[in-house]
Amino acid sequence: MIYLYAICEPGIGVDAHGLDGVPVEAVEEGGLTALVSSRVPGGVAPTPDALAAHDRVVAAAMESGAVLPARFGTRVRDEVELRAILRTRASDLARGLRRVGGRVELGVRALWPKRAEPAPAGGREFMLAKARARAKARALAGDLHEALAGLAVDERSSVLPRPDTPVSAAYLVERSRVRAFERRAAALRTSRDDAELVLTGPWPPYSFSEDRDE
Amino acid sequence: MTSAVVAQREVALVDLVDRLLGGGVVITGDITLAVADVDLVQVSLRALIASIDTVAGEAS
Repeated sequence: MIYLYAICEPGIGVDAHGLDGVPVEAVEEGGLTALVSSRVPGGVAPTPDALAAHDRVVAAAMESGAVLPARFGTRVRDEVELRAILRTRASDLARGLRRVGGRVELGVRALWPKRAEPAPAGGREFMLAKARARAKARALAGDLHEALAGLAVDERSSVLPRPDTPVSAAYLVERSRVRAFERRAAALRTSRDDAELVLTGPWPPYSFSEDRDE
Repeated sequence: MTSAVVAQREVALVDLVDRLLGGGVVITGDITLAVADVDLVQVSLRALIASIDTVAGEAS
């Protein structure tokens, strides 16, 4: 099996080690470069080390050009199948690369402040607390959008993806505006006491590899 | 600047999980994890991450 890390602009090579320290190779086809490791054993378990290795390869590639990260765990049977996929999907993958080229993903994750809330007394209390949390999370998501979307070309946001996380958002940002985005997000973080904001990135465009509008 | 970014990336394992298992382009049906398994993996990895965070927090 061949393991796929990313689809890139042609000509991108990566001097990095992949999963389990195996070399990363470039396969060029259809005007695209696929970054792969061959001879990867059957199952690829999503351990922290494996996730970090995948991310390291993609992030290194992003230093030299546009990159569409592959979903973690993507494998193809052999190089013949890989080349066939690249040819078949050449135009939509190229369009995806144009969309993310020169841009990075920045993450903003909100957490509820670390203060102990009394446990709800009963079923009705529990439901009310849940509804209050949802309303607060929605308002927070709206405020984040208001403050940050103007500095981004695209965004993905999910409200209350987990009980401890009111909002998790990702923004696709031009490299030239990253500093401005980070400054505005940092200002937002210090100005709010109803949530802790965690800023992460720059990331490869994991959240923007598929275009929702197409 | 660079080191700050790197440090930030290292502490963001929970973000890594969300992005790598939930994002990225899907070019073939042969993905190690079935969609149904992703939530399960996320739960167990987060538990692991939470314990790492706790250790790191105590150390600093």
